[in-house]
Amino acid sequence: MYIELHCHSAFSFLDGASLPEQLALTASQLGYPALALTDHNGLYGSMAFAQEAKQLGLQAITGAELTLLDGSHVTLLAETPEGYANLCRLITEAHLGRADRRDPRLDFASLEARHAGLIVLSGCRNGLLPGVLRRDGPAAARRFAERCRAVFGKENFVVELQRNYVRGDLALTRALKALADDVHLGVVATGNVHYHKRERHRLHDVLVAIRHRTTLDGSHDVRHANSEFFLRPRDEVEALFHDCPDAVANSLALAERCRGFDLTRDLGYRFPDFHGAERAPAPQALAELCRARLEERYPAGSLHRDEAERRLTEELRLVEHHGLSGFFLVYHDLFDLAREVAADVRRGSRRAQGGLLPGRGRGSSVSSVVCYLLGLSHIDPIATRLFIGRFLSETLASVPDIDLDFPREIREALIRRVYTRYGHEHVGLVCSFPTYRLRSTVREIGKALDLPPGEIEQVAKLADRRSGGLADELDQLPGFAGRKGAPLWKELCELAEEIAGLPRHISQHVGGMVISSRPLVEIVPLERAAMEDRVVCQWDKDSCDDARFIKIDFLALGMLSLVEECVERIAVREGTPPDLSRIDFEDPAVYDRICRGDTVGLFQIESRAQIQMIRRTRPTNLEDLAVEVAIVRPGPIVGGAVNPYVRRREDQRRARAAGRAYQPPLEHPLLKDALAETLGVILYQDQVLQVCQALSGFTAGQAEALRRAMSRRRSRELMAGFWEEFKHGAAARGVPEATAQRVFTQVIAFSEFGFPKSHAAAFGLLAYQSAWLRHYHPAEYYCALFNNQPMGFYSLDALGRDAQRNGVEIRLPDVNASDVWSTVESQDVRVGLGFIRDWSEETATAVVIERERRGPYVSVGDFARRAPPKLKRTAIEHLVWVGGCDGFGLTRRELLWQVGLWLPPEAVQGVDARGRRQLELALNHPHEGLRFGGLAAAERLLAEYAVLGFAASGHPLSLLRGALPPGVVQSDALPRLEHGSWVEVAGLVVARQRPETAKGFIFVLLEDEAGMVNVIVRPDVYERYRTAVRGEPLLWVRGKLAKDDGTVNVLAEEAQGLRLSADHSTPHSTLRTPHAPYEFLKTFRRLAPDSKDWG
Amino acid sequence: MDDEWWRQPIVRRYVEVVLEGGGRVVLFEDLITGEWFVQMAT
Repeated sequence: MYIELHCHSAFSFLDGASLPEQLALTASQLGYPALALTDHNGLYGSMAFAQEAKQLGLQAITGAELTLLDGSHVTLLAETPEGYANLCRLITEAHLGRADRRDPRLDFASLEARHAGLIVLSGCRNGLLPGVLRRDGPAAARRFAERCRAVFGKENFVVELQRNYVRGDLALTRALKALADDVHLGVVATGNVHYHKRERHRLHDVLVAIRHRTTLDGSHDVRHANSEFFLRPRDEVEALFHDCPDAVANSLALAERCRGFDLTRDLGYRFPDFHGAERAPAPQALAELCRARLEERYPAGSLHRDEAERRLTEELRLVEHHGLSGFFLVYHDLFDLAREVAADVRRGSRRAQGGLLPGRGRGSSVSSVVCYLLGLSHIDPIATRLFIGRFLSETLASVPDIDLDFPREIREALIRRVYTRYGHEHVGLVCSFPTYRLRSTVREIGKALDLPPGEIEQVAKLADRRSGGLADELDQLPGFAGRKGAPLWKELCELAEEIAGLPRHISQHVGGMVISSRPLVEIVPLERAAMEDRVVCQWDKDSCDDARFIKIDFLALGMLSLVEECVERIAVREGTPPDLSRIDFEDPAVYDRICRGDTVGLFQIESRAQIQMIRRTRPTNLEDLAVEVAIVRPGPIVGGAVNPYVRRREDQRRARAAGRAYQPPLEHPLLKDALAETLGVILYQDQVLQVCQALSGFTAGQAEALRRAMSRRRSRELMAGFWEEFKHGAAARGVPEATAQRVFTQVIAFSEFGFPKSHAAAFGLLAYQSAWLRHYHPAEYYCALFNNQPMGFYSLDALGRDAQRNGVEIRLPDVNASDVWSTVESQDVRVGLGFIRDWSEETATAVVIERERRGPYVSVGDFARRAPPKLKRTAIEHLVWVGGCDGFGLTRRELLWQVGLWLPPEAVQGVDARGRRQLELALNHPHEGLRFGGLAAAERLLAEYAVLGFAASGHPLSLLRGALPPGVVQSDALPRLEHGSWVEVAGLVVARQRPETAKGFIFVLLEDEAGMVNVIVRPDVYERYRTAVRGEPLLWVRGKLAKDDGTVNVLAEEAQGLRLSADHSTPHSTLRTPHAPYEFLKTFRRLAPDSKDWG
Repeated sequence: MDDEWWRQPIVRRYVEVVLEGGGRVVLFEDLITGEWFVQMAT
């Protein structure tokens, strides 16, 4: 009986065309009792493979094909847990021991030193032994085989024979067989599988071409010669090796030996023990710690004391029941470590006295009173009425997640400190595997197929979908209809379907870290991340979860960095930092602005959709803000919760105004407790569990299984599997099936992304704090916002204009006034030198230090002499173009002329254009005094876009207003027009959104000099004007005005790139010549900042 | 061989035949048309 022991999946990255799950399924269908996964230099897919195989009743053999220093391959199979640990260490060494992280290789001596528990196969055609045979002849091969036998043992080194109908296979396998017989080694047949079915060979060919950065035509020498590298029916393999039956029999024997290790059973991971030292046992120590804090947080007689005590007792019982006391205490120690790190990072700053937390909890852990008392969360779960079941329950199947957000700087330092605390072999970051998206698919496969690059780029840019469906996309793209059947395009469409969902490369998870008591390096291989000093483990979030690893999420949250900086700047101005935990959380002035939809630049409530929502729901407290944070998410949207919630909120407001009580309608009275606070709809993940328990009597175990299903990759499929249980449970409680069906539809909608209430509460609080800071300290807020990009929904261009609308001027960089980053000047923001194109933090810092040391720069010549040599002429010109040297008293043209006098063009001077030695002598230049006029407004604006990527001196529409088509109305006029009236609007595209939940509708946010306009584009309109809607920086739209309870939208019927009026010689035009608007528009289209595109 | 599927697919089965007297010749079957050919020496 044949067992396949050499098999690559897509986790061999561009040398395998099937997912591990597909291979396991095919093996099962073909009747294989076992299958080995042996990807190149990694175990990336091994856990997913083992889990899938277990479901199928298939024995998963864990292995890898390692590359040796000379480039040859060797196949290793884990026979025992010790062998697996050695395999992990060897793979890690192959990765960490190399200068180039993308070229892992192992020294054969390392394998010789660490092979216990491993079965070593001699490798493929490029393997260890065939390589020696080919290169050095039979005698050398015999010597090498004898050495391997001596080192690894006769039973543990097996000669691999592969027959894939490749020319030379027969001769090679016969020679290897003779060699093995000669030195008394066993042989084993393997298939060198690279895809689960023959048809996938085309995709594999393409992947190989991509790997070699060439086309299919150019990859002839590196591609497989045929399509014979698929998972073959066992009888076919047995027939292929009819002359060598022991090679087939040995495959089974080796598989049997590998039963000694099961990845799903024998991993031996342990979280670091709690070292109580002189403290009591963990449960007692945890209880003492929490009870002491309870006295501080909930003093006797306080409002929530009784409930807090009851909740704490219950949580401590659950924690002890699951043996998690040590886990919480270790977390507590980690947070203490974070406090130390934060204190170090903030040392010497004014905000150090501001009572800022080192970080904040997010996610479901915020609902735990234990976390609150340990300092792992900053939200009072009792006062906020947070449900614990999503985080901790009687039947918890895995260790709960505790996610912590930190400012970027603190997170960086904390990660380094965790490595030091626990040891480098014990810590790794969780990885992620980005999959092929439609755009990357089109670009990479298109290149392999040698399709015209221009057309490929056009398709990639205009394609809407995230993955799959390319044929339909082509049908809808202007100029590409009918292509889906054309040669090569047809193949592109088919291959795009096949590649969807395959991992493209390894990346770093946003914040997950794994700490292990046993060296992690023996449990999962580690490798270097793209970021320096970072090490990632080879498993993603799901594999780590399956491995029962405790993943600690240290997440970098840009808004926390912003808050840090903002508080620091306020402290500098006012002498003391504000204590954000003690501000007025029900300040009407702050809520008034939020309710007006004036939330651009705020945390989590700034998007176009959220602004619309806020205007209708009008939040007045933190609980309402939590709803705002949670409601515009796929879960509630797909579940149909949004519109009913908004309507009921309005009804509730009216009822309250009339002095009446309001009872929201419910699908069933049993749902009252679970859904009353969200007016009868499911907005939070925790409510999904509560609803299932209330309506269908789900046990805690069922709820826990559902919770796990909700957070997995195939969540929809997994959650849908609960329908029968849900239906029967509901029927047992007398709930009609139709009602159960409607509620279950809302339940499985949460297979899409949704928030637990605790997370929404944590983010809602930060949203409020950001609103409070902006309201009372706008200059500091916008300054910090500028310095902490990228973050949020808007570009700097849009944020700068929002600042101006709120009375904060954005001042252009100035060589004698700007710092490296943006600073506060009076009540305005001075843009930093580091924002200028071709300037770096290093050059900007050098310029600032020189200025502080030897005084302000007095002229272009003076600046050219004193600036660091690394600052090139173009960088200095960029400074001048945006007014950075206006203080020298000359026009910008005169200043640019002088730059040219002092610094020759780079083409003349070579790489270092500032190496001109004459600069050292500070004499006046003979042509220094020539006079030139200044830049026109349009030129200044274009220069700002070209050099800074945003404009501080105006809006492009203000320069074109006089030349716009006559019917175009300005955004501030729209509220005065009647609902349903036809309007024409024009503006700069700030954001384009095509949410997957919006059924093909596109939302475009336009901005003119007076504000923003929401444009909604129906699918049929989008199909007609797709090129303009997707690609034009300035858009003209004609449509109907839709006004509804404070929201104003334009429902587009027509959309085009902005064209100017034929008669634009109107006196209102700011541009000076008749052709100027055209010229301006033409140049602006090239320089316009990219809109933020979502979905 | 199974190649050039993106252009004009080439799918062939090659065999090397030892003739009486020791001569060798390479034959291939075009698996798309079913025709047999003698590989010409280059």
